[in-house]
Amino acid sequence: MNFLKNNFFVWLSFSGLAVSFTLPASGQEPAGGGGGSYESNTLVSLVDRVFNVESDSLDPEEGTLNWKGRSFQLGQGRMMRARFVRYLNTPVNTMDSRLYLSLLEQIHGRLSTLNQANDPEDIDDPWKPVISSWKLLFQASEFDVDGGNSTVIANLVYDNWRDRELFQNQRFREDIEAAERDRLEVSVITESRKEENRRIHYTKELSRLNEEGVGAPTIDGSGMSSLSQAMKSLAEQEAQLAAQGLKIEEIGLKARLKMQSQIISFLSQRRFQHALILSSFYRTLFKSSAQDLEVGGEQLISYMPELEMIPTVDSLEFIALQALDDVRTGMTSVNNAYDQGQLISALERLQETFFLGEYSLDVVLFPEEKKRVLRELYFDLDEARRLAELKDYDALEELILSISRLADDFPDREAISAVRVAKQASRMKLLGARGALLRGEVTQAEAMLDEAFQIWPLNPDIENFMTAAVSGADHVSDFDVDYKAGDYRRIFDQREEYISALSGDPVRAEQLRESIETVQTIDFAIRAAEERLDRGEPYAAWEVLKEIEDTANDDRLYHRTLSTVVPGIAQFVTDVEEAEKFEREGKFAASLTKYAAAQEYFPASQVVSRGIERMAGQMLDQAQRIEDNRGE
Amino acid sequence: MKNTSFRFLVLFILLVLIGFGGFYFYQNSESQGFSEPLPVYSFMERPLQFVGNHYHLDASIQNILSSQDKLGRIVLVSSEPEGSSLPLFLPADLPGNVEFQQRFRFKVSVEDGGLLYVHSLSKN
Repeated sequence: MNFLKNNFFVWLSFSGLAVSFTLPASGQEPAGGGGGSYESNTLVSLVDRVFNVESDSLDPEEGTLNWKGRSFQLGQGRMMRARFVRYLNTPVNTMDSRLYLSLLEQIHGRLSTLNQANDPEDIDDPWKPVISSWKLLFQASEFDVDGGNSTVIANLVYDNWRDRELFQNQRFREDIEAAERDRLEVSVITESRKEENRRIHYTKELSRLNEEGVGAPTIDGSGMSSLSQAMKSLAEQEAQLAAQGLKIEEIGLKARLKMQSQIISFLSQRRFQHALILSSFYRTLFKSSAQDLEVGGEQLISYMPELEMIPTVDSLEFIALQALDDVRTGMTSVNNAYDQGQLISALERLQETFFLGEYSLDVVLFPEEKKRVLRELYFDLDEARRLAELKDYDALEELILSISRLADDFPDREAISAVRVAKQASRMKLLGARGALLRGEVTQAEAMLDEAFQIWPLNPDIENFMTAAVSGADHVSDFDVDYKAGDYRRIFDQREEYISALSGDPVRAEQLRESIETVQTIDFAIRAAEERLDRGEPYAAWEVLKEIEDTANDDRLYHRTLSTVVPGIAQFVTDVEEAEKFEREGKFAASLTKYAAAQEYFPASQVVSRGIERMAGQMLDQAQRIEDNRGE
Repeated sequence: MKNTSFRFLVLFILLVLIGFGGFYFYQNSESQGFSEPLPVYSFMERPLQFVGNHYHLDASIQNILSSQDKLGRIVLVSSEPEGSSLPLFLPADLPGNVEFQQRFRFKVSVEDGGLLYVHSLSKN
């Protein structure tokens, strides 16, 4: 029975969502069992192998994304899921996105050309491409997908120019200031609108978080990543400089600090394209000697352990390029998997790629119809997780079949197999509980019923079992009547109901056990008698039935069988019955005579032999009395 | 001559009558009260109906069922010619031995409860 006590584990995990479900939970060691068993070990490893498609790059518990040894803070697990779901639900504005992508590529392209020229001061108008790129930033900032980050870059660049001697150049200054005026006019209107939208969005988001019991994000600095610490160091340095009163050379330092800080900030926000653009601006604005990071370098080294060198703006740019390349590769992988029907794999890769390149246009421009299919799969898997948690295996089985129709790479056979094993385990426990009740082992029956419930709470057989228990009160009184009447056959026929009803009553449970055993004994004798009758041995058949005469009492099935045996051996049976009658009347000699007569029909009869032996002794006593009378 | 013959004839008749009378007396004294054979089938059918009667029974020893010193034995015999089994009580004071398959004529009385009490037995 040990195997019945084993527990079953099934995990269905989907990527970072950790869509995991546990069939019969817990890793409890079976009571009295050896260490491990087929169900608790082999099944676990089997199911884990089949279902665990969890990516090691995402940690939903910690809310982090690990990418090439770097850790990005993504927020709480539920927030991560919410963002991914929102992404899947967001319609793709292809035209806007492509325009925006084109703008960013133009900006980066112009700055790259400028950088390749190596020495901008040798050209007639060295700042022309920079200024044109700078102007394009304002256009880029008008797109929602930009999130105002282009404006941040533009402002940083503008602040730098304003503090430089070069700004004294009248023509350059007028050009810049005109552009700045135009930008401000547009941005006032745009920002007002954005701020209003943002406020509405935050209000909705906060109320939703409150409803879900999730704490609103805080900015108290706790749980900061290495990047955040670097940014904090930069901010502290800026504040220190401001407090000391700025000198000209310090102004330059402050500008570098600001830009370096913002590049790191863009990286930490995974806005790699903006980090790339700002790095390019930085390179045009500062000489090669100013490429080293002023502060936060140590933290950055810990953030990028593989660098093993003093971090520079170039290295930050390298990271951004590498990330963008990975995003592109990731989305190619998603599309390939999707086109081959391997939707589970596609969803997993999309999720990974989304959290790395959430603001990358490769991710944003993922086709809407594919997103819709993957969203359906995502919700199905999430529902499967919930059903598994609720242990609603019937519904789960249907859902697994539905998912398998959607995704070719879903291991439906193994999943269904695991579900069926759990269901079977529950049924076996219930069977064990019934058996234990039958044996009168009430405590063990209760334990097994509980285990059956733990494995599969919605097991319909449990419901039937419980329903029978509810109507137990009526059955108790019925049982008492039947037991007093000696109607064990009826008790046997009603045993299912009585077992449930009497489970908590040790006295009646014992009576029930005795009754059931009695009927089982009778039935066994009846079957044996029928076999002998079939072999043409009516006397032997009668003998078998006669042996359990007292046990059978008024059992109707017993007497029905007896009535089929007796007609062929009527005289023998009559002699035995009369012998017994004389015996009861104390007429032992007459009884012995009748037994002797019966023995002539069936010399092998044990019943008759025992009767003769018994009566011979009694006859001696009777003879003694006769001799005594004669003596008197 | 006539008288002599007549006397012889009367004497002869007297002797014959005395002979018959002696034989009859002998016969009566030999099976006093046990002249009827036991109606085996009827007795086995209703043993209590024969209580108080005396019979003789020709039977062979089949089995000694039980015995008690100074009291006697319960013996199962096979009646002849019926071949039916009957239980008899042999009191301890009866002379002679009984052994398996020995044939005897038993003089029995039917006692209370249908017990066949053996008063005497003789080998056949």
